[in-house]
Amino acid sequence: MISNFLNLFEDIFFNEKYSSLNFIIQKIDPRVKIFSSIALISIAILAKSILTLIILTSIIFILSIVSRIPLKIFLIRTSLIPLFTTLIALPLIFITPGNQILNLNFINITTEGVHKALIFILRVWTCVNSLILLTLTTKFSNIINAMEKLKIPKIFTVMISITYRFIFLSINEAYRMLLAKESRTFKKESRLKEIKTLASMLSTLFIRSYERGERVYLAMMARGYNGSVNNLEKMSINRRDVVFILIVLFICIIALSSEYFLGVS
Amino acid sequence: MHIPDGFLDLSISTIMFLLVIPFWIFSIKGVRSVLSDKQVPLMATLTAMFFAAQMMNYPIIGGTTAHLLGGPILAITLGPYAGLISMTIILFIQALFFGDGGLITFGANVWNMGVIGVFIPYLVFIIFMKIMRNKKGMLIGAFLGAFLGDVLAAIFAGLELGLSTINFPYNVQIAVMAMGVHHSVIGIGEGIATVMILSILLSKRSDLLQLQKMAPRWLPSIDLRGSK
Amino acid sequence: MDLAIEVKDLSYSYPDGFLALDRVSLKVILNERVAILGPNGAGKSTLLMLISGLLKPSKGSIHILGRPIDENIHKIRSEIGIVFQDPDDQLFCPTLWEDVTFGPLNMGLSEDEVVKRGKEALRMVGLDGYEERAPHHLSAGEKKKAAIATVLVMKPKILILDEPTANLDPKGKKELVKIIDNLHKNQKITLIIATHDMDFIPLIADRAYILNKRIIAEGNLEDIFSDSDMMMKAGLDLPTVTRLFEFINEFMGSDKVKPIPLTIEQALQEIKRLLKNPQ
Ligand SMILES: Nc1ncnc2c1ncn2[C@@H]1O[C@H](COP(=O)(O)OP(=O)(O)OP(=O)(O)O)[C@@H](O)[C@H]1O
Ligand SMILES: [Mg+2]
Repeated sequence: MISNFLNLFEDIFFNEKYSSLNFIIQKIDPRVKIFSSIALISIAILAKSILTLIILTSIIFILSIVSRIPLKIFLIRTSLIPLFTTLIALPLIFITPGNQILNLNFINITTEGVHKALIFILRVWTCVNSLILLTLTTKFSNIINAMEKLKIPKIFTVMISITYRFIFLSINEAYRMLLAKESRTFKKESRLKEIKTLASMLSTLFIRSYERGERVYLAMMARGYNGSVNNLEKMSINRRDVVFILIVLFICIIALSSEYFLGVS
Repeated sequence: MHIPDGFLDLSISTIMFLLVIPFWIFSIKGVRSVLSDKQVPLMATLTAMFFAAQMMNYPIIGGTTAHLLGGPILAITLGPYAGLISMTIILFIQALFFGDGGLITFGANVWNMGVIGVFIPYLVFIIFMKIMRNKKGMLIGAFLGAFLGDVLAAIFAGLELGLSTINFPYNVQIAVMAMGVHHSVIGIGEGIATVMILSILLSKRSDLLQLQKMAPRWLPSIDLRGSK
Repeated sequence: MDLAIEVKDLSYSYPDGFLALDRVSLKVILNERVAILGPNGAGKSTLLMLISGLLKPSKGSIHILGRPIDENIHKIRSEIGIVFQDPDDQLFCPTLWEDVTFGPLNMGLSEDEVVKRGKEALRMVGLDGYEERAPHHLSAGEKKKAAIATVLVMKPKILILDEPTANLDPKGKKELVKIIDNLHKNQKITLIIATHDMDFIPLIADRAYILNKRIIAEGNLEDIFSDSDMMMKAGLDLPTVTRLFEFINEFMGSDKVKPIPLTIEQALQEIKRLLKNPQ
């Protein structure tokens, strides 16, 4: 059961299947993609109209489709946060004063409320979509390389890449321990007892990870590590990247100006 | 407590980024001065472990479950500088892979869970340890630090949300209240878990705790092994 | 006879005070193939780490290629390649290619040279085409091969392997024997191998040390394996074939088969001889 869960988990969240494909978005320079994501998210944050948000989200969906990401995978990956947002937004429908659509004794739904909730959820969804599109179409090692090229301090990039590498191992270890614990518990335990077991598992994990870290350090030293990590990877911005970024900028400008100057809402 | 993109105004997000940057610089310098290059892989495997640990749910009072934020135990085991860097990396990977958190809100999340969530527990812990100078002091400090760290982080998150008048549909009072109340319950769980982990580590492998090296120079030093 | 490695009265205690090695001495000649045998917890991995200059001896001395190990440790590390017991410790980059090029890049080689060596090393272990794969998505055996590649790429003069056959399938083992043979014959590499895999030892080693915190025995494989009492006491087994022939000898009540075969090939020869000449 747990190993099934682990496979599913890896498959959903850490799959590099789609980032190693070779379609339009995958081919764009990762720096350009990071920049574009930030730009699209910023526009979504600034947008005030449902229409703008719908257009932005549609564009992102089109991009994900041309990068051959299965719609199902994309939806699973992007629905978690919007669902949670929906929970938060739900009360808005009832508490916002304004035009009543529905009025049953206590329940009181207004157009303003629905609009407010909808735009909130849609905005969050657009942002998540744009971020997950970046993740799904870019190999993790390329994101790290791009960060290195963008002069993010080495300690971050080196640590992120080693951390990422060992996350799977840690999750595996943690779940194997949980499984071992499950197989040895036969009755319902008190909460305090449960926290206690968890704490002892976490401290064991801590000690193991510490020792693993020491061994990894030795392995790095054995191969000449002296505090810095070099990289062969080269990146270059070509015509395709320039065109892509111009399109993204164009979309951003259109969206912003239609909102602010033409008053589309 | 992870704030996704779209919840905060651009202005608030930018301010939070600007607030965090000096702490990043400070921590990178701090880590370099107290840790050897040996600690880079060490910090990385521990960060991976804390990432995994954040995915385990633990039961809290009131019948719900929550997951460990991990800030307090990171602060105590790695020190505040490495703790902040480690937390930054956890938040980055969570944002990228789970969409839990965001790019634009990254600064705000790091401020809440990395700066407040690590430095506050550390300061409370160190102060109690130095005043009481025994194991009991450490454990009380760890509990209060974890609790305060969680609650303060939540209050900051509430403030940021509430002050985002354009994008977040609820006002400051509601946001701060909701976050604060919820996380004071979670904070108790975090406190208990932190104390338990710390006491197990102290009895099993106190040599792994590097508090002497981590403590800022302006605090008087204390020998942990003597206080066992 | 030039010494590749000379260890004298080496003791090592872990930081928690646990004494893992007690006055160990051993010598390895250039281009020799030496096995270190011992039960779990005997200190094999610890000894190999010490020889690679990754741990500091508590007592005693280690000389590598005639020089004390603490003198110019970086040079020595580039001459010794160690493959760790757990490949997960050794593969720490997001892609296999980055892992393979990590060592050569640190050695300051030119880019062309790094790329050439990287490709070559991956080809040697049969992992060409795996460059962009993430280490955590490899199978256990592939991880082991990958770990070996990350070391071969540095072209060490002394190659240290800690449990190299763990998780390898029969084909993987055969390939490993071929790689090792090739390195030994053509590149005059010196080999030290710690293992439990008794059937594998006769294929890749000429001499062995039996270790259990201290050195218990030392000698050519034939001599070591003919002392089955000592092996038993050290908690070790004999190669399957050897055990079989000991049985045959016992059964026939004589030392008919001498020397006792260690590998399948030797055993086949022996059986042929016995069949032709039953007396
Ligand atoms: N980091 C450590 N701290 C304390 N003790 C350790 C450490 N690493 C190993 N030991 C202990 O040292 C002894 C020797 O360990 P080592 O790993 O060298 O054995 P080994 O011969 O390689 O065993 P195996 O066949 O299981 O690989 C063991 O008893 C082990 O528990
Ligand atoms: Mg071993």
